[in-house]
Amino acid sequence: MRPTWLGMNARHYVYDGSWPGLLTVVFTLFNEKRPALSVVRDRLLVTDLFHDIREVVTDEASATRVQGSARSLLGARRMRDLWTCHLAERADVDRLLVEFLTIAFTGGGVNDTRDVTVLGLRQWRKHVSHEKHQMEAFVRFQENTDGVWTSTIAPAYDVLPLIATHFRKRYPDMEWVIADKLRGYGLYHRNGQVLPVRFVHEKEPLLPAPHIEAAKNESAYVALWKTYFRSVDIPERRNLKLQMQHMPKRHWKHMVEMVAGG
Amino acid sequence: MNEARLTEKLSVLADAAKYDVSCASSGSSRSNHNGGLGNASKMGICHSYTSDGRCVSLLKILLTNHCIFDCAYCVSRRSNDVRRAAFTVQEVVDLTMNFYRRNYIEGLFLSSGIFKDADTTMERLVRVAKELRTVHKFNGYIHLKTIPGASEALIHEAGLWADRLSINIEIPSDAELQRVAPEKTHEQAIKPMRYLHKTIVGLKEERAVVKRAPLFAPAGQSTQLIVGATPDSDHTILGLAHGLYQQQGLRRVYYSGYVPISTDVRMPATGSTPMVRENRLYQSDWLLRFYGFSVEDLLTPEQPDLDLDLDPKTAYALRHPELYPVEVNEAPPEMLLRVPGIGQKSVRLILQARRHGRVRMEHLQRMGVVLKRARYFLSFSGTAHALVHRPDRLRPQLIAPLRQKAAQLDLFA
Ligand code: SF4
Repeated sequence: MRPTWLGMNARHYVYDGSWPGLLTVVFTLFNEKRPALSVVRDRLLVTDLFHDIREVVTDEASATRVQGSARSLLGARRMRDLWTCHLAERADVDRLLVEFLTIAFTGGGVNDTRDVTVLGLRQWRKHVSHEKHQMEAFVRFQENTDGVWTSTIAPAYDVLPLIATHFRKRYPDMEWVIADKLRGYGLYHRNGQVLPVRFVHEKEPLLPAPHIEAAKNESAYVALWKTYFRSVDIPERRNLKLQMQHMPKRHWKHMVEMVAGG
Repeated sequence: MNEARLTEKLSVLADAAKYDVSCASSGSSRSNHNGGLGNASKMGICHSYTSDGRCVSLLKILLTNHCIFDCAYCVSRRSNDVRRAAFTVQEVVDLTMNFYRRNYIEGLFLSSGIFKDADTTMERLVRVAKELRTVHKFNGYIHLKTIPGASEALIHEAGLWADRLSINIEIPSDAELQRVAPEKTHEQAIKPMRYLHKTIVGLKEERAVVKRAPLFAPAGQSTQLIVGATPDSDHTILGLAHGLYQQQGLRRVYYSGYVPISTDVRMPATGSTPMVRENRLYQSDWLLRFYGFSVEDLLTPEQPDLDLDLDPKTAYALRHPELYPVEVNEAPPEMLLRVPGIGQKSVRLILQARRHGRVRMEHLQRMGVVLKRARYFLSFSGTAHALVHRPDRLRPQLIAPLRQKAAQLDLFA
């Protein structure tokens, strides 16, 4: 049965925002038999004076145990879906995830598509995968004199872990960096290996690296691409709303064809 | 690189190719096993969108717009006075590689005017594809247009390098085609389609047994029909499309609303074909392929054109009140699929939910069903909408609810 979330027993859970961290929250919740009022990443967000706050320290062993039993109940694909939702980095999604795992561990209907939690997570999986697909499409590489291809993006969710495989398979012979400037880290690829990299220059990455310039033909190919983009347009059928619906404006500044000039 | 010359060629030859709407890059899967560049993803990716909202997935260009033919609907026709240009094989290869590496495109869609004869032209197209695959180890998507009248040997070779081949029928009826394109016939397009179909099916069977049998046009073949350039009805168009799916195993038929780019006297003096007709044809095409509808369900010789005010499924539902309401908690999936506003995903969710208990209206809303349309055609444990058997009164309710909303706002303003 669904546990009731309210009651004096319930409290707020604070964790570090990592996936093992969230699983540790679930572990703690069951271990101490105290339901969650909220699951947040920052203690300062809790303004409620009437309930306890429990700060959960991520514990790999507990996380692995929760992951293992959840997987045997739900299957690997479903687990990947949950992990995908977690990349939304939102308190309401974290809350849904904890609720859903509670349903799973208490023998509830995890396939009941009438359920608000089940459908809610389904929606969030869709949102996050949508952002993933958009980033696979809208990344624009620039070739630099050091032979590295660089790209900067600002995705709504933390999708770098989701797009790594796509770009590794597509550009195996290139040395490339994709930088998430909102989260201050990036992916670096070389010889089939993708590594996460942090940026030393505050949050904003400096790409290409200092003293490195765009390769010789780079501006010519950018200009040719803009020419192409202009030539395939049918201005008589202009429909900017439709264009923005498919290609949200917040991505434009990272897409060469949408940047003025040239 | 001579940037100015390339820019000039690119603007002429991209502009001339843009009215071919078959630009999707989906349906192939070519993995990268030679350490080269790229792969073709099953989903197809739109890398950008034009200001009219169309997907930009491929570098879609003509090799040349010089042409010895004189098709009235085409800007590149011999008698038309336009700027002409031609790419070299090397230039197309370079552009493709460099756009692909920058993640601008999924691959290349290459077509051409017929510049000397069919075989010379086709051979040049094949050479571009072959060079990309062999010299540059390019594993991205390649779509080649098959030139009418090209030899089977060349078409076969094209299939070895390309992911998809297309042969455009363009004009939906043979008689009209011969009137506006004196050098062309339907048979001329169908014959190579038949050949390709046979080869694709044959090699697929072979691959099932011998893994190393060659990949041959893994994304199959497609065609394009121009809508509104000739008086052909939607019934003719969908009938033809249906036959092509059934008999030639086509992956996609594209419908291109005629844009009056041509001033040829053989063409109608009317304006552009309304976008909505193109949309209705795509919706109908979708119903034919995935929803179990037949052409006769959608159109008849007496009613040969689609209703532009209503989507084809809603129009069907209004013509067949006897089939509704559909009971959410009991109906078989194929009946749920015939409810306007319910798609394949919703049907799956409904079936799954039914195993856990009774499904109510509010559940459907969360599942993504468009209740604004669906609610008139459903019943929940026996309770249906009062108007379910009154198509005459439903029709105005279902047409452009937006317009009504606007009117209401006016009323209260
Ligand atoms: S053969 Fe092709 S390029 Fe030539 S006029 Fe006809 S449609 Fe245009």
